[in-house]
Amino acid sequence: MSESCSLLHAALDDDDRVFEMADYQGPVARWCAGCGDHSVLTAAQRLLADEQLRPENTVFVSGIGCSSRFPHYMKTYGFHGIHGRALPVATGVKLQRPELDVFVVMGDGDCVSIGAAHWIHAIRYNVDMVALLLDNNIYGLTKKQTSPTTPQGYSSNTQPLGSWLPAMNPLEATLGVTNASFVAQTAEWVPAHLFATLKAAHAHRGFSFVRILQRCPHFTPDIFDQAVKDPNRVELLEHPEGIAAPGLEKLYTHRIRHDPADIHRARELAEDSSTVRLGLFFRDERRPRYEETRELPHHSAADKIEVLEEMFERYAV
Amino acid sequence: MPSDTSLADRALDALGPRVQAFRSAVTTAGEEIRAWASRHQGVRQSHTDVTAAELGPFAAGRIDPGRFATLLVPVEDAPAAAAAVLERAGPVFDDITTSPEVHRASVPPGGDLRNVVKEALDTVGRIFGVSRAVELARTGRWDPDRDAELLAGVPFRRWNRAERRLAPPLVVDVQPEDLLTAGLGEFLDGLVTIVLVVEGPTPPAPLARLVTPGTWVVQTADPADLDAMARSPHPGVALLFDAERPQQARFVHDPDAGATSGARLTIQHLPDHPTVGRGRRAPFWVEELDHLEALAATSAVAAVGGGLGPGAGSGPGNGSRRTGEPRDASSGGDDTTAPPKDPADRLAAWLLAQTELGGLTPDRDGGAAT
Amino acid sequence: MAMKLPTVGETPAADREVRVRTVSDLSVEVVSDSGEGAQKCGQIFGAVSAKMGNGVWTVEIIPAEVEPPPRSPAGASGIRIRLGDTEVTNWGDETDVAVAFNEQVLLGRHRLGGLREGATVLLESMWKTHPDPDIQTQYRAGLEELQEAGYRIVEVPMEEQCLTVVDNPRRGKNMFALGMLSWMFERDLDRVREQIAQAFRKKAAAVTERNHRLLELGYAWAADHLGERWVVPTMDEDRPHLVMNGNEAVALGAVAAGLELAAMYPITPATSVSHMLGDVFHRFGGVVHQAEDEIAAAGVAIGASYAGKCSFTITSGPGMALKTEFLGLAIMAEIPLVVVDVQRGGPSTGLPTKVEQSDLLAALFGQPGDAPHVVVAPATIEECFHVMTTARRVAEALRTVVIVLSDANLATGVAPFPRPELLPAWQGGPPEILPVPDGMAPYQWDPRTGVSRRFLPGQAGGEHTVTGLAHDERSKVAYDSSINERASAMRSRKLAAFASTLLAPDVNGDAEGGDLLVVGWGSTKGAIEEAVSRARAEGLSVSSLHITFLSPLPPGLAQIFSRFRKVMTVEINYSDRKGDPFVTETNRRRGQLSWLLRGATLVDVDCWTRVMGEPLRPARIVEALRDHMPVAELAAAGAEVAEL
Repeated sequence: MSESCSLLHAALDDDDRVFEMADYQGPVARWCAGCGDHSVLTAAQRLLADEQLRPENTVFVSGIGCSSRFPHYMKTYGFHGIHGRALPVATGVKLQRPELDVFVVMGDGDCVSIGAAHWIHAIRYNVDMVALLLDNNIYGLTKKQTSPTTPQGYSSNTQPLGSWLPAMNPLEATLGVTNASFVAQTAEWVPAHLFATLKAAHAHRGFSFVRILQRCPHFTPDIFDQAVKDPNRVELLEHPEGIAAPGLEKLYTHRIRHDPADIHRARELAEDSSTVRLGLFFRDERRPRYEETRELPHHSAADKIEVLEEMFERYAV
Repeated sequence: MPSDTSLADRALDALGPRVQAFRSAVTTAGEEIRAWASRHQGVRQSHTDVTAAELGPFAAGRIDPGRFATLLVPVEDAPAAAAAVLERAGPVFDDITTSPEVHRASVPPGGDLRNVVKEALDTVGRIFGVSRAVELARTGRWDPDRDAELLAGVPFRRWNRAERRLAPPLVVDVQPEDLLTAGLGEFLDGLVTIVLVVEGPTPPAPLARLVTPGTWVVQTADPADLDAMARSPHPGVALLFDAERPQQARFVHDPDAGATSGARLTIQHLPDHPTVGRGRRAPFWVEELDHLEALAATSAVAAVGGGLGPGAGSGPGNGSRRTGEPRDASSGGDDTTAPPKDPADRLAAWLLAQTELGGLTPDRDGGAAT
Repeated sequence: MAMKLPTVGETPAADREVRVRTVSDLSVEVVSDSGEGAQKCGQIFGAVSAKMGNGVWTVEIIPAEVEPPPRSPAGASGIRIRLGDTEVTNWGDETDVAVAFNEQVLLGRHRLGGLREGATVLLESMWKTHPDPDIQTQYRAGLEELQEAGYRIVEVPMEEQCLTVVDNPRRGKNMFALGMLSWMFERDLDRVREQIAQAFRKKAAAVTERNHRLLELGYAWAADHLGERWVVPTMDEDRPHLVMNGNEAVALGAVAAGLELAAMYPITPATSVSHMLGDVFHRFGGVVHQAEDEIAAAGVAIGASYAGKCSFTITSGPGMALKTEFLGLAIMAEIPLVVVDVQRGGPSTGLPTKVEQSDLLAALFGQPGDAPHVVVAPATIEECFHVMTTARRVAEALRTVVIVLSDANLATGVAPFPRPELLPAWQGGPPEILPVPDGMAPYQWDPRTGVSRRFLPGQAGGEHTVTGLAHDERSKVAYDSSINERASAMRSRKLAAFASTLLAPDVNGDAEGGDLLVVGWGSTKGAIEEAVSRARAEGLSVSSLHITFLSPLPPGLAQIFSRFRKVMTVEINYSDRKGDPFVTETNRRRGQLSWLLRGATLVDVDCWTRVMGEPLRPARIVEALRDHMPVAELAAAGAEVAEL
């Protein structure tokens, strides 16, 4: 969080308020039982309590899709917008109010398909926010249509003979964009890792892109079956500068050392789809942040009039 | 002394982002108060006029401002106490807005550095106090008996988190003899940034004892070295020398540069032996220097044991004798599970283990099975 | 003695007589290949004329390409300056005096009907003796065509003259031309010098000095050789004025309106607003965000508005199409937003640099679903400045979208207007970020007006999620069948309530009624009113009405219309003409305002519209008025019957 935009707003801040998880919980989520979204919601609420984020200074922005219902289930400010366009809205929020904590929740159709242009450019803007891609490899809300991340050959209502094309790899794409500053992958069925990843993403100053692998209990229940059932199909990325999720060592014995400062290695690891890799692929805190570059001091009405009068001289007759 | 003044000015220039953030917050607050007052005070008499003015000349003859005013969300009249509070607040805002002194202080010869800093921050505390008073008054919660003292100011120790993050940077001129910095520790919170400008020889590392994991600490002779501090999200303290001298240490402690104190510390110059003069006790200085060395050394220890990234803690070619050559730590490969050697890291690891972070279980977290 | 004007092939006599004519209105044009500085010449001439007290309207002649081939009729690049002895509100009809740097660009203007019959033309003569025989041939042929058209042509050795001062005459001819015009129109040379210095203030001092020498050279040459001077009487105007184009006015107006964030994507002819803001906005703490596309520009503006003060986005027709879904969201979620649409010819890429008023119905009804919002159209450059304040205030008060319809005519037209006396109140204050009192809902609609109070992030106790889904007053998704009906009613009621605050527009002419009422909107106001006054001078019973708020419409239109025998709109958009094949009264596609007014008033509103890629010329409107007079129409109908 950067500083308040107004002294008055700072004056209202009450340090004695303590927030419990319940303080961030909105109405009961209407997702299907077994939906991975529940797990992400819980992790997000834990994160907010852990960081003691002020509900009124926190904004969840989403697009359209199952996962985009997310803000409705939080007791913070929320913006449930239109399909694919959560990122521009979130960018606008941060340009106007850099002091707010902004989280963006997108599905795979939302982010990788219809919102792809915004996704690519949001990475480049590197505005300080946490962007969650809840990737269940399918369109759920509209009932099982192929998404860009649907595995090749996977059958859906729009492509019943199986998805024609190889699935798009969002990590690979993200790591390929200039000015990427934080790229991580986690999974809804490993809550400790999910939480630790959100925590690291929130701590990062810049655009934190987190792909969360998740299952849709109706349309893609089996999609990560191998990885869910056999922890040996999962590889954790490990590094002192990476994401540490204590307690996972025994279950996940396949681990690989990866320095998140090494973007070339990060790209190699992301490209190789032979195994499911969870962890921090890349982080660079020193990449320029757009909202910081563009932030300007507020001018009083009187000051503006003074400058405008001066500018009028150029046009005066 | 003109050269001194210019050094302090240059320091203040380097702190531009912090100055700007504070001034902007003050300006915004002033505008908010003005807008609020025009919206809520004397609503009944002039609502049509205010609305006509707000709609601008384009609306003249096209929109009936009186009727338009009836569409607006009704505005409550300002609470009774608000006018008096706003009246008291105005001059304080104007003072702070126009006075550059809010960013400057100087320690008179023989004076107490900590007191001077405290008084400077208390001056800022006046505007925080007034802001709180305004907020209480605007929201109808103003209690003159309880809250009148706010108008006198809020001392630093009672600043809230947001206020500490808004604190304006402070540049303090101080004589070498008066450079007793230990008492500044309590102010290094939020985004408080203090730059001490000294002329002449000083002890080698007076700021060493202010190095804590989350504080930006820098000793330098180049005001440009303050840029990074002014942009960091951490509190900071700087010692700005008027010249580079062999007996003065130059170093930067950047909280974001790594996980260990050594990784965070970059020493550009470390004196060999502290020279003793003017009747000061040498051990005092030696202690600070030893402390600095010890902090820097943890990078080497940690790099061997814990596997830090290459080059962590010592910028290449920075002339540091103590941190030495960057060690290729990444070659350690699979030793990441070895316990950290740095005592601070061991402590951190232990603390982490005590939190419930280590004890998360999938079922508790509403995981996949539900 | 009869006036003696130099014509082709004739060497101007040193003892010639100079005729001075006083006119109340006159248009001058400077045309050249791209990059020869004709526009700079005209801008300086226009600014000096405004400073001297003439009414001025300047419009640039822009070829479609950046660097079209030289010496081609389609590549004509230049500027037209209309001078008047009173305020000039439009670009006028044809040009009276032209300076052309080659005969081909002049032919381009001639073939488009840009020059008045008998217009005086100062033409660069170097092509006559050009080393390339093909060019010589072209020149002779071109000259012949121009002579046949009846222009008074004066060949001027511009290149030869300029070479006495500069090595590269491409970089100096414009100032020589400025010198000639300054002599012909008796411009105050000191003011011209001053204006040149101002125009080149970012260049080296030597540039200004060289341009001053070229100016004086042109002036002296004209004094020695030309036989015609004009006097356009000036006004005594004490009030200070500003001279700028409509896009600059929108940009500075946005500053005056307290807008602080503009999100845009480059699109002609709107982009120059962003150029201007990009140049100056940061000095006011403002940000111009160049988004990755038109959609994102709308999204960023909406996100910023959602989190604080109202923001705005600037675009043109194709961009409006892309922003549509986001506009619907802003209307649904009741987030204030100002959208400036600088209209151009359409559909699709259409005429990117040319004026049209074809976005009206799309601006009103283009958002799928019921999406009530405000649409307003400035009619003058001054209004481009002031409309921004009103738009922002209305958007914030009603929590809705306000679309400002400017167009390429206003965007590129340059004219003086009274210097605004700025007020802090125009800017609106920063929004209040105070705790929300218990029990208040984020859409606590006043059932009478539909207006509600907005909660911003940072306001404790106001936490809610705005949504594009149908929602109730707590912003909860509507699962109850009556909620959507009620919420739709509340959003719509805001417009009705706002309409109740609008004042009926004034009739220009006879308020009590007459034969014909011409209704216009947007940038055509000046041309329409000029045409009406000419028609009235001819004795026609014509009045006009200009509509500023298109959504909601102002009250009283039906009553005003009822006082006239016939009502018609004049617009720059396409309509079927009566009598076109297959066109009947029922299926006729009408001018967009006419369509709107017919629905709103049930009056049989006719229309006359043109899409020629240029602003309307008053003379053409006068012709249309004559044709559309009820009496004339009866006569025409009678003649038709007789023929049968």
